[in-house]
Amino acid sequence: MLHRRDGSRFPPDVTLGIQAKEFNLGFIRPDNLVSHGLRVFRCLLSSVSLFQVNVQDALNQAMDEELERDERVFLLGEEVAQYDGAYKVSRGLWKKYGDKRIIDTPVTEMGFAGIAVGAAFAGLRPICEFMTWNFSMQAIDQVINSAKTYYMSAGGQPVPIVFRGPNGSSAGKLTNIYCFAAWYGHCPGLKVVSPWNSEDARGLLKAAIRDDNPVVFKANELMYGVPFDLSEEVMPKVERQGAHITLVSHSRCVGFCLDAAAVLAKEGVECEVSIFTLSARVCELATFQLQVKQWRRRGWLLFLWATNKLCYFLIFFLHFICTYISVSVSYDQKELLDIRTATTHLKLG
Amino acid sequence: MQKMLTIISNVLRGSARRNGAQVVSEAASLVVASRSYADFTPEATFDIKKVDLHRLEEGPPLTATLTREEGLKYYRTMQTIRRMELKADQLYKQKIIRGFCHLSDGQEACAVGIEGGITLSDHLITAYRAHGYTLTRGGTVREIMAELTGRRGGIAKGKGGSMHMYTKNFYGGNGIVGAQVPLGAGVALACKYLGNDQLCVSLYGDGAANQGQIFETYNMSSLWKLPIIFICENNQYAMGTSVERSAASTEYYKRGDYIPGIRVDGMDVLCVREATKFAADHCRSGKGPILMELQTYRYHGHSMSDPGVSYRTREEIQEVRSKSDPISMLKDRMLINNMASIEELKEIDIAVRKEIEDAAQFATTDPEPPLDDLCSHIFANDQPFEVRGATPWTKLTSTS
Repeated sequence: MLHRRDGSRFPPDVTLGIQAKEFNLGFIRPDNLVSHGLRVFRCLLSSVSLFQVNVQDALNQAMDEELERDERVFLLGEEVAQYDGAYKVSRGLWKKYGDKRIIDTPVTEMGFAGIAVGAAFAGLRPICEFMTWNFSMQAIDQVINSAKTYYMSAGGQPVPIVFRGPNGSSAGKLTNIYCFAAWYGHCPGLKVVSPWNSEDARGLLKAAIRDDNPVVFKANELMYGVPFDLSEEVMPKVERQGAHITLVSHSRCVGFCLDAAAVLAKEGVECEVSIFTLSARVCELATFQLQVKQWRRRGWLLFLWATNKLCYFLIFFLHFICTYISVSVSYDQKELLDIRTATTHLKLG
Repeated sequence: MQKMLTIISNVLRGSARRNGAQVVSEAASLVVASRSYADFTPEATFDIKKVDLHRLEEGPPLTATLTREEGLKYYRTMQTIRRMELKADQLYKQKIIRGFCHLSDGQEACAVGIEGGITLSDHLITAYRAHGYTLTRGGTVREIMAELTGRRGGIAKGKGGSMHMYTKNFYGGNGIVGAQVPLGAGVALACKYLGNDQLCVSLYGDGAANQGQIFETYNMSSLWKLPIIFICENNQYAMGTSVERSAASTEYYKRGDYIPGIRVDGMDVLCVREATKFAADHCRSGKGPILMELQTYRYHGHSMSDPGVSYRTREEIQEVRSKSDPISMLKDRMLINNMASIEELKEIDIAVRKEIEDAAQFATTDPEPPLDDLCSHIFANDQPFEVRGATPWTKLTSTS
């Protein structure tokens, strides 16, 4: 039985599977567990360099590589050039590529977002940076309507643009902390990605820049400084194996899931943490389909959209479930409990 | 003269047996046959109205030279736009065209004059009153009318409609008022980036001129010296709001502040052409953006749902039509200076009418796009994927 957030219930009539294909970002695809295992094993065996790179540097590397690779790629946004990026994501790029390709704009989001889209019309491949996604609301018309042009021109006018910026909550802030994943995720024609670790950040940004479609790329500011192992391979998307509960999440909350999973492991509850909700397109429950055969999911499934720190709450909650409801009872794959957690329904600044 | 009198008297002698119209047409054809094209003036210079300048020492020249070929071309294009818009009006009333339809009859001189001042390798973007520009930028009447009726022969295969027509170096057709101006600046940025000496013409109306994003665009394009010509097509009414009621300053050519501006009579195709040439030279010389205000007028209402008389009087429309109609102005100029004959212009009229009729016929009979096209072109260069339909169990396929 599926439980929607508003309390209504409906039985799914088909086995659910993830609509990951909707965003078809090339080499980022959910893989099966066997290939996952083999890949990790191979990495360990072949001692492919696994060096620690934080998300900020991974994004920087991705942009650097793409700027070098294609003359048409350029970056524009507030403070991206001489300031090295408000969050230092574009550090060093202005020194390397100069004024022509790394452009500091005035504080006029609607104007420069429109300019970026127009440049994409004329054949360039802009990366438009918003200082945070909150400011994109000023330019939301240009972002959303960039997605319509290819369709309305019946394929005549592609728009190869990437909008990027930090999204979601930050430390101790009350203002400029919205998560826009769901907002942009609902726009057809717009590819929305929200990576967690360095691997995903780098790979997805490169794929986004090379994609001929408008891509909304959301990172989380608090993840920028977090180091992850970065190999040359693209790691698959199951971050932790487990058989009892699958926790599905995106962006920073994946970290909380992993923390919670570590705590629960001591209690004997094995959590599988998956981050293949890289695309925030999947907000509609009716279209959210899990590849059951790929994930061999058993047990309960929690969708975690929370973007505030609810680690402790999460552990308590999961503990509650595991203590009072038996998780060892196997059930029909069609029975799926969806418990969604999210930010409290408050409008902050 | 003697020859003509002989011809006419012969014709009149035979008129007892035939009706008046036949007589006149026979006489006309005889008269035409008796004049060769060498009789026409190949080129003439006209005085054009002085433009108002803002932050400029000199403006466009006060005279314009028009050759016979150019004159006939402008006449034919303007007449095509006029007849196409009137045909669209007719088809809309027959409910063959539906949805939005914004007509630009009365504003033909703007489209034709601007195109006369730039080349097809330059870029242009405008808002929703775009049918005339689609034509001058390389679209054909058939494609435009089929797009209005939403058929597969349309310029956007029936998926774009009135407000989303695209051709090479023409970026529509945009529904959001004012949003096209930063897009145009982006195209100009690309021109500068690629170093191809092209420029972008970004059009907007008197209503859009109050939009904040336009001022943001003025700032950035002036800062980065982008090769963009901002053109405000001031047709005196933003939908139903006159300029006095919507703008604190109706001097739209001065609104760019630090951007030089010129105010031009938008009903005179030669004025518009000379001003555009001047503006294009300004941009190409690297001086940055320039702003042009074209004072023009639209005869129809804002769109087909607007009769156009609740906020202005019929007398006003009639007055403009009789005194400043762009097509009549060009026609008079050419006839007075013996650059064309009235019959030749009538022939052009007939040919244009036929072209429009054929296009309307095509637009009415062409089939609609297939259902498979509903979900195609969502993403470019992508694998086909499934798209959820209106219900969770409806699945459609999207192809690039």
